Amino acid sequence: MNFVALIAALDQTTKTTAKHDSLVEFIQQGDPVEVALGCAHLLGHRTLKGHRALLRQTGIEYLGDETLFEAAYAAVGDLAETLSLLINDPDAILDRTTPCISQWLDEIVAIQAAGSPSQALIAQLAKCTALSNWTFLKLWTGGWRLGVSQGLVTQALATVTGQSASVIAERLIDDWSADGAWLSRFSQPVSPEERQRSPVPFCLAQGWQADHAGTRDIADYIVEYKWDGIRCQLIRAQGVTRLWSRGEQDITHQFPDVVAASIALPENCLLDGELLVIQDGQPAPFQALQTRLNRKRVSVALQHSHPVQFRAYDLLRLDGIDYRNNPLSERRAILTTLTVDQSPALTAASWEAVERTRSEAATVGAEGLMLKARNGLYHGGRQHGLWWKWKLDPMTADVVLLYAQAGHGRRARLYTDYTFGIRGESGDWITVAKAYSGLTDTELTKIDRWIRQHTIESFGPVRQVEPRLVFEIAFEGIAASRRHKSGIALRFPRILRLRTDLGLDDADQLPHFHALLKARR
Amino acid sequence: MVTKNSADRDPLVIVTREGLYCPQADVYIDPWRPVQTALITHAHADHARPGSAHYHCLSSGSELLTQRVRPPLLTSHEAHQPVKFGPITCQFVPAGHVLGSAQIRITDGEQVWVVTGDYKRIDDPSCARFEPIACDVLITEATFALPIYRWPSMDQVMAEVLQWWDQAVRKQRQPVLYCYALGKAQRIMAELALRSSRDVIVHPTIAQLIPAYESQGVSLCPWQPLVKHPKPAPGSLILAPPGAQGGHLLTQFKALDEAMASGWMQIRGVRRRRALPRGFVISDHADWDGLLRTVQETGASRVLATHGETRVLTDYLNRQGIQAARLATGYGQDEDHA
Repeated sequence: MNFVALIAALDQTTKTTAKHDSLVEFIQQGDPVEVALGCAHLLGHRTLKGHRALLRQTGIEYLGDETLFEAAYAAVGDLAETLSLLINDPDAILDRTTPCISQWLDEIVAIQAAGSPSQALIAQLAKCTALSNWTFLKLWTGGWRLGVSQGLVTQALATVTGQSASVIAERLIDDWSADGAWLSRFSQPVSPEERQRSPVPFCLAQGWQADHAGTRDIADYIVEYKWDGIRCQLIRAQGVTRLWSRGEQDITHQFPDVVAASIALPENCLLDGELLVIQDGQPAPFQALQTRLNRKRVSVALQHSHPVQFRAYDLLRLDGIDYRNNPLSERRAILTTLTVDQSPALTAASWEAVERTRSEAATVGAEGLMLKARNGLYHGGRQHGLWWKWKLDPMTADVVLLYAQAGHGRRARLYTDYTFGIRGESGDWITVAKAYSGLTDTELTKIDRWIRQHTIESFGPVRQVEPRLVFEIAFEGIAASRRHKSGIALRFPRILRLRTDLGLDDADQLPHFHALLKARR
Repeated sequence: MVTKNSADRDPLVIVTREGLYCPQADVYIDPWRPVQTALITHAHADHARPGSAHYHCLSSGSELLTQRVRPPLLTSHEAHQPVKFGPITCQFVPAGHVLGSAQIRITDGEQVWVVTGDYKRIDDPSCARFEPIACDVLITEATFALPIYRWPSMDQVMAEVLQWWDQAVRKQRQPVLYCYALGKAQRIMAELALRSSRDVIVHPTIAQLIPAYESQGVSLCPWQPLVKHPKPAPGSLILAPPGAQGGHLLTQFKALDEAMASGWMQIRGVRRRRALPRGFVISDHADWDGLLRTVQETGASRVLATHGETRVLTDYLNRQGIQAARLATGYGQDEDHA
């Protein structure tokens, strides 16, 4: 099985188990170098920079018509796929059946170095079928949209090698030398040092309902604030700090300030906690943390303006001892002996007092409370009755649909990405939020039809629609923003429902948002 | 005497509230509201609507139209046979879309206008081939008017279908191919008849349209109806309309291998939105090359596009120096039969 055959197999099923089996077959039977390179690319470790501009230029040159190319791209919603469909010679019926990635990577380098890269690319694409070309172009652009997560590749490697997924994930961090021995290095037994370096499965919380209190005794719970940051396990081992987020993702390199601060911790420990931007001594809204994410390089200035801190709430390992099977109260007692910012246990004399604390959680920058079983062990996954999250109720607003754009991937050709607005004081429309989720496929199809029938104007792929439909949206937070004309930014906006019962005059306006802003801060 | 060009002369077809209308003949073509006289290009629901008084169609399509619309009065015409409506002569000319589908040629003796209805340019063993008609004004569909839509040959696609079918049977799974009940399903059955002696199991919605094909002498592969009990023997392919997905006739099978036959399957995102593992690019509409070739072969000096990617097509033709504009019609509401 070569890489093209793997891609075809992954593409031709919607079942995760079938995808896993295809990955396992590829890893076991593929050419060793092809396997190493294929896994790297599926995991997003591209060795080549995506040259979207070149791909776009190639499409335009091939058609000799920029407008036509843009229309085609808008319909497909994927640059690599658009090109593979455009330059699709029906006589080129040969799929690549032999190992192809390393050769293709060389060809890409040659294309980039050619006098006319776009003509060289057209010549290359004219040789193969659409599937081969799609695979070839995706090596370049990334973003496979095959329903293959990092976890699935890691799991398939774990299946083949007999190692745990976290060990595989850890080994994947460093080892991208795509030689024939790549896979065999993953099969080696886990060393004690590796064990000290690996994260453990995260303990996850269930949603608490107000009526849960009824038969339960508050004394059985430790109450903490729920922080709106990034869940993280901080590991100190062999003089190195590693930060792991959920989904076994190593995010160490994004937070040099956290790593620097961690040297105050004991040499061998594993803490569970939250990464937060701390401004004026208090956690800032999640938007502040977002500015720190997914950057290649984190500048000193950014570390200064948006300092990130690790706030611990659990201790899982210390001096080589695993504390996961000790009760939470004991783990927290040991945690308090360490020099690290900690999420305090809140006093909770009664359920009424807890409710009061929750309603005021926003004043300390929290998004609600955590209720954790005092005698509970640390258990990976969402174990019933261990940890509960009790969030503040989401804020809501009634807003008006102003613009729609066709979605990408499985929502291609369907107008599903909405921009909502409110009426300003002078009667003009101000956008306040974009939202993509919350409606069923049936509702989306209906609204898609409405959008097509009520378009005022098209701006490329974006349609401006008659301001008529009112939607109720919910959001987790609100922050002042200089970047937006409305002066506000909403956190995790999603659509609750279409309010056919509301007219334009019933929709909310800016004062509503200002009131929310004031109430939460 | 000065010869007027087509743009200055009175149009032979205009759009009214009721539909495409020829004022000189007082007839409508595929009207979307009830009218006195309706010329029907084909029996798909967005083109053939009930409620009009007098219907005209191509004779090979009369049985399908009768089944779909129950016309109070129906006159059927042989291909190319001239039909007079006052000063206007109309002709029904095969469009290659589905059985009995027609283009309508309209002339007042000076200008020739052609309404294509839906059409395709590749051969289809279940209906007569599209014939290009020389005309001044071409009113065309534009469902797939984007250069990403270029259909593979039926030999290639049918080979893929047979391979997928075999694979499903080997895995002891039941293959189901979703396809539009009128046209696409029978076309696939006719293509199968050319290539194998295999039989298929067809959903009742499809089965009820098969007699109209058989009475026109279209060779279809052997078939049995899909019923709830007893379950059909394994090894056959089920053909079902897209709306049957998840219905009681299909949920009786534990392990389904689902696929869909449609021009939209060209785009991965469309297939994934329907959560379908496989898609076969089989369309009853003209692809990009087919549309452009048709414009060229008809020699039309003006092109009007009725539905689909009309803006893309007309903008492109205008840039190529062919006068083109869009017509707002009610066609193409249901994408499934593409």
